[in-house]
Amino acid sequence: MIRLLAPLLLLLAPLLLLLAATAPASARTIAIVNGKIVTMGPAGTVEGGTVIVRDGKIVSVAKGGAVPADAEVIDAKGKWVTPGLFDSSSQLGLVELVAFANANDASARGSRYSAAFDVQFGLSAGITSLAVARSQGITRAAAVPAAGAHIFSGFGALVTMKPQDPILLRSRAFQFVELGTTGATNAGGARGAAWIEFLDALRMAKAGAEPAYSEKALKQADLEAIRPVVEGIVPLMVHVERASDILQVLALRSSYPRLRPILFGAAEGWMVAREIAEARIPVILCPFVSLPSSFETLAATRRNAAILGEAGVTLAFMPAPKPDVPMVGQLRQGAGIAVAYGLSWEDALRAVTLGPAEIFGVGAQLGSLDVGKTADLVVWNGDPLELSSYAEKVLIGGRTASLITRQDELRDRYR
Amino acid sequence: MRDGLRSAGFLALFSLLQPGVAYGQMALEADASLYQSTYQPGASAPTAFTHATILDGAGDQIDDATVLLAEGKVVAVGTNVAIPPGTKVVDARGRWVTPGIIDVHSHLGVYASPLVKSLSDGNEISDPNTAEVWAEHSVWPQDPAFSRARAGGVTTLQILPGSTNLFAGRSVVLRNVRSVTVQGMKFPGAGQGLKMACGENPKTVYGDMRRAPSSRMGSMAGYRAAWIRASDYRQRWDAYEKAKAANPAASPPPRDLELESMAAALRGDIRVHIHCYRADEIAQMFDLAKEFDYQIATIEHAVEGYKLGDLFRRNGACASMWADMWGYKMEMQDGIPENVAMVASKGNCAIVHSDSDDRIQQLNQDAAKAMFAGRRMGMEISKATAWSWISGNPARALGIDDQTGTLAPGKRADVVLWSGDPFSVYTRADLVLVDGTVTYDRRDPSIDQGSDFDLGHPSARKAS
Repeated sequence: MIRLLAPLLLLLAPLLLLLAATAPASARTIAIVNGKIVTMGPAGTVEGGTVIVRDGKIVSVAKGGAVPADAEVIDAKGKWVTPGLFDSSSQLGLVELVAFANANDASARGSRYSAAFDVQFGLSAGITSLAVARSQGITRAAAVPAAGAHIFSGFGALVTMKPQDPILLRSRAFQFVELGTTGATNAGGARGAAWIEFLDALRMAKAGAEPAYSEKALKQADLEAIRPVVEGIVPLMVHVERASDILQVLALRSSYPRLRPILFGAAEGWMVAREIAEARIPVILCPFVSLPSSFETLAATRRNAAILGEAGVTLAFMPAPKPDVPMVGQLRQGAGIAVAYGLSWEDALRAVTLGPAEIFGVGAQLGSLDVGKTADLVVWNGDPLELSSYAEKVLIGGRTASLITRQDELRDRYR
Repeated sequence: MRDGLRSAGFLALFSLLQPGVAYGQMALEADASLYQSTYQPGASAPTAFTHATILDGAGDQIDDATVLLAEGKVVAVGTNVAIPPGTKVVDARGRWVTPGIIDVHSHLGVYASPLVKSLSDGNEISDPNTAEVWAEHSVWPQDPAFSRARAGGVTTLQILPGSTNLFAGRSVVLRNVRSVTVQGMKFPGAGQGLKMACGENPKTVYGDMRRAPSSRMGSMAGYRAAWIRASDYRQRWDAYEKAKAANPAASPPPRDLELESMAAALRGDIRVHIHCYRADEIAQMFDLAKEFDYQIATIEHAVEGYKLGDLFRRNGACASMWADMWGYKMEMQDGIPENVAMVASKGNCAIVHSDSDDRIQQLNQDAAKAMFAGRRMGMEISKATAWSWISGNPARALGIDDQTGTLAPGKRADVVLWSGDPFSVYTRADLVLVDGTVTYDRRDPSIDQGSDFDLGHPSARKAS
């Protein structure tokens, strides 16, 4: 009985947390007036628009528009207003220093667990990079576990870039599996081993099988972690780069129809763009990638995002090929580079706002400036994808967030 | 003898080469005759870019102007340039023209793509002092990253050994052209550098092997002990040169490749580039250079350069920095996006480098980020000044500023035509010229079909 209840509670926990995170942040009313409002929603772009925020929600977006008497007014004349940015591949809240185990809670090579590994327990609002992310207009992020010794890296979480704990928005937001070169290496040296291990795990999880007694085998907790993936309750982020690997992931759903794969990396995705689009499987990619840095990215090109976008694939961007913290500043730049290589500007901004919100199942609350949604928004001094632009105001859940970083304090000490 | 060798090219640029202080003869023969550049500029047509916005790399912007190129050289730049008949005229209205980008800190070729162990040749991790190794002996000219960097407007780059060792070895300056051999890429006459490293890398790598150095003080002792040996080596060779003048049969001291590199640095024949992040350690590096009387060309990375006022200028060194890298490790924690602008504002020679096969593809954007960060804190920094961070200043640091880095008449025609303002994220290089030869044309993929490694994967190129 307990064995049945425990997973159920674990599955409910994220929903409860999500409710808590989107509950009224304050009773204050904020009006952003005169801005170029890029809603990313049905309202499109509203020049000279007003956004009214009350109790943490967007209550109206209109051209001109009346301002309530009790509202705190932010004049956005000559400025751009967009949804808060969403970093789809980060270790935000998890890692202070990538290079040191005692300052890095994203990976656990020495752990006996794999799929059960859960980043939520390592999250802290005290991590320096959170403020840097905020200053870049990032309001939400996916905290991605880094590969350990197994093909399964564990549960990732969604996090909020607010300065106070807890920053967890949704735990167990996705499971992460390595099925490319890294997976092959972790499985003993070849994809043939990685895929057998993967398929075996899905089969055992689906059948509710008892784990084998072996040091290297999946533990009970790992199989329980994979079960909601098989049932389609938790999406599966699959790191693959090669076109052939991508096609194999797409084919999975013939055996596991409820599986919800998210392609992660997908440097050669453009070669099978039509197939990805038809399978309605989203892609998280890094727009900078252009080199055959491994034999699984031989056909890497900066046209990847444009070709996938053209095919109608739901896209999200990561700031760097790996979820390394110091690169948060590259999220916007990467979106701009995708535009330089042919993606439409709207699709590029969508890939750092609504795209990821939808991919991670929070599109009903986040990702666009629609009435009723959580008020995550950024006031920029110009085009948010331009190098000259910066975030002037950031609202997270309707609250103005501090944009002062430790870097700012260092600058001011030595200026 | 010496003059003959100097005109042979290898040491030609070193104005610091003092008359009367000859480099060891055997060493000279080995260096100059065996490892010369075989680079030859390709064919070029007289070309004029007209109505362009020009950043000259020396700190000036000229609007609606012409750049005239002929015989691989810059002929004229300005608003009143007569275009000789037979010149190919490119209307650059709305577009920008700059000197080619120079990256002083690259590991292309020594950490080539694909990054498999077989192509990992950038660090000789066998001893904390490997001053004897030369990066050019590791460079794989077929690294596909060279062509990606070309598409980003990079015309010259310095390939450095990595930073695991106190003395990592000699660097090489390359023209960014396709070549079967590294000799075919070597910048004629450009000198080598000596790469040193301080901070976390050497002490971590060797400390983990239970070898010295395992601490910063151990590193410092390691540098000093090595410089003492190098000073002694230099003196022995100087004494030999003097003795040989009186007695041609005098026998030379034994050659030592490690000390030969260091002695060359002490003489000023090789430029010293030191990987160093923290302000306190940078100051130690300048004191070390004073103790042994050598000149530092650049402090590489200089993540905390902004804490040091005009210390770089007072020591005649450039600070070579990332735009906005920070974190990763303890010594990078204090990196700030205003670093480049703050270092430049104190009168120091500031350089934006890539240290990356990815960032090298848009080093102009890193210069832009650094410039905008400075402007945001209230500094007045022109785009022309910011361009000098990736062309004029790097050329100076590498000792090739008499040949490239700016669009002055007589300089090599290393030129980029940009689709628009190169400080915008949406701008791309339309044309890249090295010595007047078109090495990249965005509209003509046949000009640059990548390295040999790129062959067999034509689909990726077709897509771009």
